[in-house]
Formats: sequence, structure tokens, C-alpha cells
Amino acid sequence: MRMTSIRRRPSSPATLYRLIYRSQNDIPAIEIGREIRSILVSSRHNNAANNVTGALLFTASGFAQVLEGPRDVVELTFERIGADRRHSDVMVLSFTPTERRCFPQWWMAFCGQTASVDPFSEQNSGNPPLTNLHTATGGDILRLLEKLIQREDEWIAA
Amino acid sequence: MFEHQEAAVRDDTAVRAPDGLMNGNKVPGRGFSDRPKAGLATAMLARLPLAVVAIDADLRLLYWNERAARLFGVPSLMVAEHPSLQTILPGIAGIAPAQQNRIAEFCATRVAAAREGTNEQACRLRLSCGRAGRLGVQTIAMAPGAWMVVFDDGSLAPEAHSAAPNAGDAWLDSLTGLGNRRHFNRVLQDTLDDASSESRHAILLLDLDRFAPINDTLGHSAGDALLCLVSQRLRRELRDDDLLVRLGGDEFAILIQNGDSAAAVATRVGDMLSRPFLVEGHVVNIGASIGVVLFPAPDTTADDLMRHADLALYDAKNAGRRTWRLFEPAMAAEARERRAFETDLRKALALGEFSLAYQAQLNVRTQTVTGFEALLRWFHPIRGSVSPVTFIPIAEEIGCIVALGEWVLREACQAAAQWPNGLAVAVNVSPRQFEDSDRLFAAVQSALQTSGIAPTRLELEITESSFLAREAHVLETLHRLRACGIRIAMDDFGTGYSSLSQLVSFPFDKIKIDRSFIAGLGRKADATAVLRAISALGSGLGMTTTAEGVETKEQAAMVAADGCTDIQGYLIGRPIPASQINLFLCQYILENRPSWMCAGGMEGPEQPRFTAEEPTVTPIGKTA
Repeated sequence: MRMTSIRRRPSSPATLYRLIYRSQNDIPAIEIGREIRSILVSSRHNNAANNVTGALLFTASGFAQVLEGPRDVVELTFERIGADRRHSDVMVLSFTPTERRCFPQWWMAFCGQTASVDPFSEQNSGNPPLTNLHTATGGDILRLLEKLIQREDEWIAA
Repeated sequence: MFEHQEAAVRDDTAVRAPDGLMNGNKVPGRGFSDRPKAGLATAMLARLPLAVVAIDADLRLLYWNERAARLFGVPSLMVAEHPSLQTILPGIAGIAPAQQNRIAEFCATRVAAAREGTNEQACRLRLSCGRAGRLGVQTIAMAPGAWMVVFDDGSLAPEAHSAAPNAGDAWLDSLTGLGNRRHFNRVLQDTLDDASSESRHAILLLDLDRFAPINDTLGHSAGDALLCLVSQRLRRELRDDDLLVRLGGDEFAILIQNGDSAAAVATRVGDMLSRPFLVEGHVVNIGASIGVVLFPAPDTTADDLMRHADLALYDAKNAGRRTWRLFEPAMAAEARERRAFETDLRKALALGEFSLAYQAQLNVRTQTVTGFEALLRWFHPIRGSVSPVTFIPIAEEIGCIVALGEWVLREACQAAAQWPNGLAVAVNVSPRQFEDSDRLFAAVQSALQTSGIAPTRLELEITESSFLAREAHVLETLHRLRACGIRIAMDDFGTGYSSLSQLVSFPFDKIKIDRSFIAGLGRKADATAVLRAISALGSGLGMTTTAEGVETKEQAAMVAADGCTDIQGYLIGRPIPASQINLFLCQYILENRPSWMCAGGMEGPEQPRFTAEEPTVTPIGKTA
């Protein structure tokens, strides 16, 4: 193995970055409703102040989240979220600079198993399958969230 | 948290002092002039080893003594301004910033509650040096509108509020703002001194896994940022009273006093550090190995505790990292045994306990013995025969492999000088020997000159791990050696890292194919494919290929069919002492014709006649 050191110059802290991670849900079933609400409330509050947007996906197998914003703020936000005991087995699927936000007007979108949107009914309607978050790639999650949010928009508009 | 404190002031003279204060004298001493021995009382009050202030109903300072000025870090000139007690309280020297408001609030509450009478309380504090301290606060009403407040700061570190403004720095890690090693040792000693049989304390020693590569690839600024994130995550997992310090590098220590179970903390902390970090635009996955030691334990000093925590940490690292281990006395016993082993190993060379055994190498095409590989043996008078698998890695670790390797070179060349001309001798060279290439080169030259054998008869076997560090430097050394006519063989090929890139980076004379591939022949389908590929590669690059560990006639036939040019293994001969080599050669030629190589012939003696005592064969420089 060649141990040549490649020093990578860090990007500017203000560069727009997109983070996609997934994790395992550790919230006891009985508290899920309350906890998810609390997560959404605090996320909307914190992220609005920090210019971070994104979307949260909650399924039976866990969480997946997209966060978009200035690099340093996303890093700081993830430092808080990543260490949250309500989830574990946190895996970052992608953390890259991006030209534009995929979720510009959404501070945090909850795509849960609500009446309006359910990732599993997505599959039933012939859309890309996402049987298990643990095998999903960052791209899978991004595409699914974009689709779900469109549907929720339509649902709200209707 | 709050404990009652013994009355701090018993000196009646001091308590009577306010007369002077009420006369408007803010400078210590003047108010006592109308009393006998007033000068003495003034001096006593001023130099009392307690911080004493007098306040009015608005908490404004009327008086303070030297100790109070030092404790609050307030210049004495300010006394004329009658600052409020509340504004100077947060300035208590040495108090951790996070605790300044707490102490201010505590003192103000106590003072406010004490307007009507005497009141004593103590507040437990954490100093910025991380040490736990206790500040006693006693408020005594003296006259209408005047109170005396006595602060007993005796348990606070004297250094923390000494004259030097940066005294705290000596206890702090400047990068993370945590305490440092000196600080940890100090608190540990205090904790140990105060411990009773009921105490349940623990030390957690943490070492980050895979931190060095992060520093190397992302740069030191990212490494430093990561260390700060790590310290913040750790701090969040601990109670206020738990001490967290950075010992240095990527090593942290936690002292838990009568806290949560150390196992629970170790698990929690380990989990948190295993979660990804985002640093300067990069995703960084590390983890931590943790050694845990519980105390107090009988006859155990602070040094012992740190050593034990270190042993447990070492065990955690060996267990595959990202885990924690509780210290067990057996670990100390192992460490003692290991030290004894190292001592024996260091002495073994001088005591002549090493010897060499030689294993024949056979050319497949000519069916002749081409040379022998020198294999190191250690016979210790008490330990008996020690396997090279055991002692070589340790010799490499403690560095005595260099002297040992030089001895092997001399000894092997001397032995070869007695063999029929043309027979080669192969000597293993440890990666450690490349660290001082001039010394290695000189040792080789000296061995050749002393023995008088031609350089072309000497073959140096090196492993892929030699290239792990300072590849360019190693290559240069190899070129120098090869320029003298010495042959260079790549040993254990196929077991290491980027084998192919190394093969083309240097014109090796020989590739020795690792025995694991030969053992897999006939059992694993891909073993044959690998063997063929390496043989073809060797042939293409002008290198011979030796199959190691050939034990059966079937294997020999297969490796020959797969294109290997040479074989080595029990089938040809077990390692034998130098004294038996000539006999081996005679008998081999007379009786041990390798008939398995002749077309259709699978007969001949079942086993070679020559056997050595050692059941395993591992050459110097090999670890498995």
C-alpha cells in the first residue's frame, strides 16, 4: 500500500452541500408519534434559523434524511443530529457540494406513514422499490423523497 | 451538591473589624487604630488564609483582604469604586467558565438569604483545570447595613488563583480546552487519596481508531477539528462531575467518581465515537478503543491505575478496536510475562541461544537442489524451543531484530561457504532492517567478505510489508544491493496489499508464492488459477517462481504443471542443521530422485528421509 499523503484542500465553509444519511429508529413504538412530532418541530425551528433545508423520511426500518445548506452549518447540524440517541447505526450515504437545493422551500418534510404518504404504498403503485432503508443508496433516497414531497404538495393543493 | 462547612472564622478580632469599615475606611487596617493591638489585628485580617469581604445592603464591596483580591482577580485599585459582589463573583480565578454563573448565583443567594443572621454553605465547583473544588461561603451580619462574607477557598487549587495570569494554561489542553495529562494525574491522585472502601471510581482510557490516516490524508487542520468534535461528543456523554481530559495526540481519559457504571459509559461513549463525523466537507468514520480500570483497589497507586488502564486499552485494540475492555489482573500478569519474554529475547543472542536451520529449494526442471533458505530457531534453556511465529514479531517490535538479522546474515553466509559451490543461501530480511539502509548494506557486505562467498549466491527474501513505509527509500536500498550481484526475492507473495504494483516497481529475481495457495490446491478452484497467473506474471517479468509449503507429490506435480520454476517444502526436505547439509545433498542425489516429476511415474520413497525436530517452519521476518 502506498502511504502517500494526499492533502485535500477544504472547501469554503459557505459552499452549498447536500448530506444524505440513514439510520435505525430506536424510538419505542408507543412513543413514535410524539417523538417524531418533537423532532420535526425542533428541526423546523433550528433549520429555519440556519438556512438549512431538507427532508426527513421515516419508515418502519428507520430514518433517512437529506440536509442542504452551507457546509459548516450542515456539519454542525449533523453533529447534533448524529449523536441523537433516538437513532443508531447512523450511516452517511453522501456528503457533497451541490449547485442547487433539491428541497429549497422545505425546511423539513415529514414523509411518514401517514394517510397521505407512505413509502410502502409508493412501491405498490409501481414506483422504485425501497423495501429496506439499509440497502438504499443516497440516490435512491433522494429520488424517493423528491417524489413523495411532490405528492404531498399535490395532496395539500387538492 | 451543597454541603455544610465548619465555621470558617473563629477569630473574634476579625469579626469586630467592621467598626472601622463603618467609619468609611476602605483600606484595610485604618479602622483598627483606636483599639489596642489594632495593627496586629489588621495585619491578621489582611493576611488571613481566607477571602474576607464586607458588603453593604446593595451587595457593594466595602472592604476586601488580600486573599479575596487574589481569589476574585480584582485589582486593589478598584476598591474605591465599590463594585458589586455579583459583578466580581464570576471572576473567581480558576473556575471553569461554565460554572462562573453558578457560583455567582450561589453566592448571591447565600448572601441575600443571610442578611438577617449567620449563614454557612459550601458550593462544590469544577475548576477550569477540571479539578473539583469546594468554596465555603459564610455570611455574618456585623452592624445594620453591613455584612461580612468569608470565602473558604482552601480546597481550590492554589495555582488556580496564584499571581500568574496564565497559571491555568499549564492544566489545559490548548486545542480542545479540556484538561491535560498533568491535570488528570493531579485529580486522580486527589481522588485516590480521598477514596474510601465505599468509593466506586473508574478510569476510562480512550484511543481513537484510525486517526493517523485522517491526519495524513485530510491534513492537520481537519485532524484538529476532528479532535475538537470528539471532545465535544465525549463531554456531552458525561456528567458535569466526570473529568474528561485529552492526554495528548488522539488519547483521552475520563475519570468517573461514584458515577454511572463504567461499562455503561464505555459503551455509550464508544457508540458515539463510532458514528460518522463531518469534518471540513469530508465524512470521517473513526471509533475508539477503551481501557477501563475500577478503583480503589488494594495496594494500587495512581501510576498502577494508569498502567492497568493502558493494558486494558491494549487488549481492546487487540480485540479488533471499536470496543472496550475492563482491566483484569491477568492482564498485568501477561504484561509481566511479556516483559520477561522480551528480556530473554534481548539476551538470547549474546547467550548463543539462536541457531539456523536450512530448508532445501529444488529446481523443477533440472530436478536439482539450487540452494537453502536459512530459518531462525530459538532454544531457551527454560522455555525450550520457542516458535518464530511467537518471537519474531516481538523482536521486530522491540527492535532487536536488526542485530538478530545481522547475525543471521553472517551465520548463513559462513554456512554457505562450506557448501558445494553454486548452491545459494536465502536469508530473510525484516522490514525493520530497511529503516537503517546503510547499516543493512554494511552488514550484507561484511557477511559476504567474511565468508568469502560470491554475492550471486546470496539471496535476500523480503516481504511486501517492507514497502509499507518509505517505499522509495526501500527501493533505492534494494537497487544498491542488487547492483552488487545479490539476488532479491519477494517472499510470501499474495498475502499482502498491492502486490502487483510492487512486483513491477522492482526487478525481483524471484517470487515466492505463499504456502496458503499451495495448501489450497485441489481444494479451492481458484488456487490453481492464482498459481498459474503468478507463474505467468513471473515468467513475463523475468522472475523465477518458487512454490512454498509443498508437502505432497500431488502438490508438487500440480505446481510444476502450473508453471512454477522451483519448489520448497517438506516433500523436498524439512529444515536441517548446517552440519547435515552435505549428507542431505548426497542422499538426495542417491535416493530421493523426484520420480513424481517423471512422466507417468508417481513412485519413489514416500517421504524424504531427513526430518528436523521442529514441527513448524517460519523464517525470520515472517509472522504467520
